[in-house]
Amino acid sequence: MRQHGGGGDGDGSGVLPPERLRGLTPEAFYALLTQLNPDRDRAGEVYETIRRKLVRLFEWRGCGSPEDLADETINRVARRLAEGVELRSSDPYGYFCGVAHLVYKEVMRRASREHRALAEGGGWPSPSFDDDSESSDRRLDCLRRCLDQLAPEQRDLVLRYHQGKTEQGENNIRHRQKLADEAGIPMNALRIRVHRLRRKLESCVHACLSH
Amino acid sequence: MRQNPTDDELLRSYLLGALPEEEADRLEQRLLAEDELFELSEAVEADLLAACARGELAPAERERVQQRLASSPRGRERLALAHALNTLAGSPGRAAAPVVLFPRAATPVRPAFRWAALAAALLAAAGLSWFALERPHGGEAPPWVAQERPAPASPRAPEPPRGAPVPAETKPEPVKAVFQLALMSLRGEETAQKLRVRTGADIVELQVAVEGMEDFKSFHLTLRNRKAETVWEGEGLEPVKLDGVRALVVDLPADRLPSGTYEIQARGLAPGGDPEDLSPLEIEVEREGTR
Repeated sequence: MRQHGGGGDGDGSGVLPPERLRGLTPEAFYALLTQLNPDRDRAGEVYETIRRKLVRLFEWRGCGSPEDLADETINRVARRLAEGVELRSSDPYGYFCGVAHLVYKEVMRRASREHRALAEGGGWPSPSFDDDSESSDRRLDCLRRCLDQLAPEQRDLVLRYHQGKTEQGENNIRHRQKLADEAGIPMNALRIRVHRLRRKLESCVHACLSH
Repeated sequence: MRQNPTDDELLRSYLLGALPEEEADRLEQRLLAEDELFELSEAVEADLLAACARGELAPAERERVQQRLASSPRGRERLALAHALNTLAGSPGRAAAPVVLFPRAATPVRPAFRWAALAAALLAAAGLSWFALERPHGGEAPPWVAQERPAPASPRAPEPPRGAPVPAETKPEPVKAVFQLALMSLRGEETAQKLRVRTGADIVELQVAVEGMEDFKSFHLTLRNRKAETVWEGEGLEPVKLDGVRALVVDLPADRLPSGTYEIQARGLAPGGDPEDLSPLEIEVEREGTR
């Protein structure tokens, strides 16, 4: 199981790196795992799932540091559990969600202040991401390589799905519906199928660009 | 209007930030609990990014996608990947639309809107006459953190009709400079809040939001100057609701705050619990006419 917030064992117990501790004790972390599932391995899986989902929820809310916020949420929940709060077994996620909303509200306030500070400084900073032609070409090269690693029918599906308007003038929705019909699956199943392939590509391209 | 949007429609609205807050909260609970719905949400997100990269979204939607879904480094990577996939997939009928992946924000982000809304609501609720209004973005005046108003916060009396006898001159009301701040329980790099106190202000009122700290029934605030001298200290401060926002309100004689840097140290007190230190807040007071 990947440790909370990524590698390192800075707390001396082999569990949490110091930058993620934020007042969280190993006992509190274990209390969290125990409530998630009595089986430690299963608890680890549930923990990973919750963390990954929280990261995405913060991303979908437009937060710039979703991983930090997910860790902050989990730490707060863990502290509460260590104080005796119990998760409802019928809805263990509700509590995480409630705490995540509080964290999000705090971020909104901080962002509001940072916005003012930025505005006082003459406006927003230039975008940190610069997809210039060189990096764009590199990404395309990596993507080609990664597509080559897929099975031919998978590669064909992903590319056709992203084709946009076809030569016959079909719009995207129609075109995708046709693909779903060809595959004999509902539209949302097609979306998920393509998304899983895209996730593979995303990891592959990420690794390729890191080299 | 359809009463029961399908999940993919609901998710699209959510991802574009178009769902009312309560519905978004409910959906997020489902997203945490339902793996299939979560995966569909990721797929819908990817479709939105691909449509954005192809230039198929309306300008407002495109801006929302860029601000919400592509605001994190991974989000930006996903958008770039969508663009690359579109390029490789090709579209014989049309060239891939040029995409400005991360333009400078043309409008303030949502939090700023909310804060401005709070200021506006305060203004409306109290019927105050404000001498200066915050300009959150651009404009010829600097974006002020503060709004100044005369105290007390009572509606302005109507002007007497012309020709009516003029009442005897009354003592002028003290002028308050009101500043809105927020305490955080999160750590993070904070920029000192600049508080510009206009000439003639008699009282500096600090409205310190303590949202998300409902566990704390009261607070202890200490204001220290750069030399760590205590300028002001308040114990047992209980939050009040300012237009629905839980906040501490502190009035200080303006002459106690000459230009300079200060730190507000805060502790939250929960019933039966030990005081908990909160992130200190740094402020920089700038008195007009003293620079």
